[in-house]
Amino acid sequence: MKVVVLVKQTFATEARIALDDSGEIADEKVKRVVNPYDEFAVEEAVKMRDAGTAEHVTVVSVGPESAADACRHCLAMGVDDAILIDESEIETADAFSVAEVLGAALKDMEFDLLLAGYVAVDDNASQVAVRVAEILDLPQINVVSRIEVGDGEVTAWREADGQTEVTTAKLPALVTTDKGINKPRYPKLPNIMKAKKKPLVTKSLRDLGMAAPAPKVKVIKHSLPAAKQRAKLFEGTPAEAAAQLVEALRNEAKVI
Amino acid sequence: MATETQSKMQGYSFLISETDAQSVFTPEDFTDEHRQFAESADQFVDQEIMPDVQALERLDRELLTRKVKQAGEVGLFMIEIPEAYGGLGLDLISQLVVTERLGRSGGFSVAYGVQTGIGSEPILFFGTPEQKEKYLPRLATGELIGAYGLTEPGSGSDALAARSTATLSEDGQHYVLNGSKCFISNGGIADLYTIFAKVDGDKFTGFLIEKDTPGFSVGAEEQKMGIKSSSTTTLTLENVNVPVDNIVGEIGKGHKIALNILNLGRLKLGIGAIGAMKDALQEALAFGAQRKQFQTRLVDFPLLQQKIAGMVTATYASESMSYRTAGSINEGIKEAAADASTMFAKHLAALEEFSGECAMNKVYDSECLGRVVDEALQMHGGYGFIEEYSVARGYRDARISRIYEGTNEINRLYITGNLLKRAMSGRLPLVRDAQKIAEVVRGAPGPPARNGSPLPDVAQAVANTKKLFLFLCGAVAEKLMPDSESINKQQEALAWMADMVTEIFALESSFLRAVKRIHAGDDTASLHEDVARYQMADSTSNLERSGRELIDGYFADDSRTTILETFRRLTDWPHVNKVEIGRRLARAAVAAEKYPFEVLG
Repeated sequence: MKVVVLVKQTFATEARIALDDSGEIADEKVKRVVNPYDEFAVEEAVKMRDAGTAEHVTVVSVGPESAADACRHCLAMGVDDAILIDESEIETADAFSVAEVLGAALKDMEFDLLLAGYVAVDDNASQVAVRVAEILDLPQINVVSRIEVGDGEVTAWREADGQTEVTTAKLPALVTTDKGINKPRYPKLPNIMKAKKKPLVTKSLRDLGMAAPAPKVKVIKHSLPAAKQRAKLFEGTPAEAAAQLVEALRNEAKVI
Repeated sequence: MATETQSKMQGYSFLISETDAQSVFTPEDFTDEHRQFAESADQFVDQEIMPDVQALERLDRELLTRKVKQAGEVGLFMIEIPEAYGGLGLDLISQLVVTERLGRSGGFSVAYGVQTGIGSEPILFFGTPEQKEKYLPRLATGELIGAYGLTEPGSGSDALAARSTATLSEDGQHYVLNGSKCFISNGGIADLYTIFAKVDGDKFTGFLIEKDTPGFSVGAEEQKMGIKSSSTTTLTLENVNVPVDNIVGEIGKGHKIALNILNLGRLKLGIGAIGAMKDALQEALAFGAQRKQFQTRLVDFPLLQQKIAGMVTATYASESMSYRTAGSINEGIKEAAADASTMFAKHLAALEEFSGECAMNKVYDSECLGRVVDEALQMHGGYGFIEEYSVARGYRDARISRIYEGTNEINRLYITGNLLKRAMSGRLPLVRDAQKIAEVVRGAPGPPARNGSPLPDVAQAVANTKKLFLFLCGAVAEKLMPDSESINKQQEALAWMADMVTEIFALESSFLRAVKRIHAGDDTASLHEDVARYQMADSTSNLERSGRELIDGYFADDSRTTILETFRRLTDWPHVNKVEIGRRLARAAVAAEKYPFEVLG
């Protein structure tokens, strides 16, 4: 079985984001990582390969030049090869455009199972992977906490309202991973060295035989969330506190 | 004074020549690979060590052994071991970034340091091909844990005075070892020990002893003040039969092993201390950002901001000088790697060349760590005194750094002693420069202003610190040198001079790193300028104190008056406003929530 994992490079969750003078995200120094949810998918794929269920694992990423680091991280985790598609020609790499590009790239690839994180921690959109499945007309099972591959099919477990829903789909299919499915490994030093010898191919849109898709999203401006205000504690008897609260909601916050 | 820029750096040459900032290795020069190694080392510490740190601190040998094995599985011991012996055969910098990241793991970092240092280096550098074949692959994976037995109850700093003996058996197949060792790190968990003993009572020699060898026994664990997670024991040798094939290096040449490995050990200790400094700083910043007094966060009080600035500056200087030294040694090692037959000899030669700098790093970094953990604890107020916060452990763990790998006192004597030895033998043209400088300072009104440096004030201070040192060195030498034995008895002079040399190296290394960032057009360049200036303020005042003590201790009356006149001229340092700069540095650290010059993520 061949597995392809879609990965996105994101800012590290603990990274502090700042805007520069022109209102753009000052991203030069921000630490970047493989989107943690995608990392679950990579770990799952590598485990399948180690167990002999999968014979080959490829990661595919659409991103800037720096996303090569994310690819290398996946290679050091044990992935066999990586394809990085340069996003620089896309005006705004929105979910639609990225999905179009991935769709074009995957159309010519052989695979049985497509894995991805169910969400990226930067935009929280949960869009790209499901769009890719639609473009490729693949069945999809999303937000799963366990995956088992059988003969020509994949079964996945998803948490739903305190119950577990077990779904089976015919391969090829897309499965997106939730947290808790596994604990991603960190690369061993010898694997970091071995990863340097594994293929990491960079492709342009032209290599995929496509023009840059016209994005559906236009970025007008970035802004940081307003600084959190201190919580206010109202004291006194419940009746007094409630009265003060109503007063504050009416006159300070002006919401009622 | 020689002002030519040297292309091939020599030990101590920074004292007599200018260094091109571009030629200096700095943390900003780490490769992607270095960063990936650091990341894996960080993950290892976060996932395997920190969750169990309480249990490790109670010293559970079994747990510690398991953690060492886990580090082996991650490949953390493979870095310096050649590929032919199951390692990765990588550069020194790769080893050091991992050593740095392990630095915050306290006692575990000692187990790690022993395994990758004194536990395997005797074989790596001095072992026979058979010994390498037999042991290195298993040390690389952690299958074997290594230890090193040099110190004895009666011989610490005076290590070569060891009393353990080795006598050849009648059949000539074995040496019979007797004696005892103490303060042996990894003593209670190791499988393979490099033990030093004297053959025929006088030939200091290294031997490899496997743990189950009859007559060899491990004593109880020492109850230590810090690094409690690490195993430290005595070793007893009672008629231990060691096969002649287990001699490391040559009979009577054990001191070569001990001294050469010590050079690398001192550099690694300094680098590990940097990791611990960054951790203590981060703890202090986290606490100070959350704790409020008088409705103000601690990190917003100017007095505490100056503490933060001091910690940042000390860490920066330690980092700058230690990685600079590492870069110099690494160049030598890279050259050596081209020819396998002479590789280890050249490797050792590169270490020997910079043995003075290794000692400087050991002293400076360990003392910076001492101050950093002290201030980090102070910033915690009463909470710093309570074990619930990790800063208390960091404080206790730091103390040993000034003691082992050669006490800082021994290292100070070495720094100056070795410098004078090289000067006397003509290996370093120091005497010539000291004489020249004496002429210059007597005649000239003051140092010429230097143009063209992006940090002209710091550049001038750096130049003046060197003039000051050479001037005082010349004066002291003139007075004490005729009898070269007598200067060795003036340990106060040697120590004050060592302090000056080390401070100059620290200041210049910070300066060169900042200049390199400015040239690179880095957007953090102005912060690098700030830290270089803050360092200038600290270094020059330290230098001035050491210089003054030297003058007052060795000169009186007219000669003292004359020397002080020049001294005052040379200590007219550029103005630094520590209030402004310190607050800026602190704000950068508070915003970053960690050491603001961190490049390893």
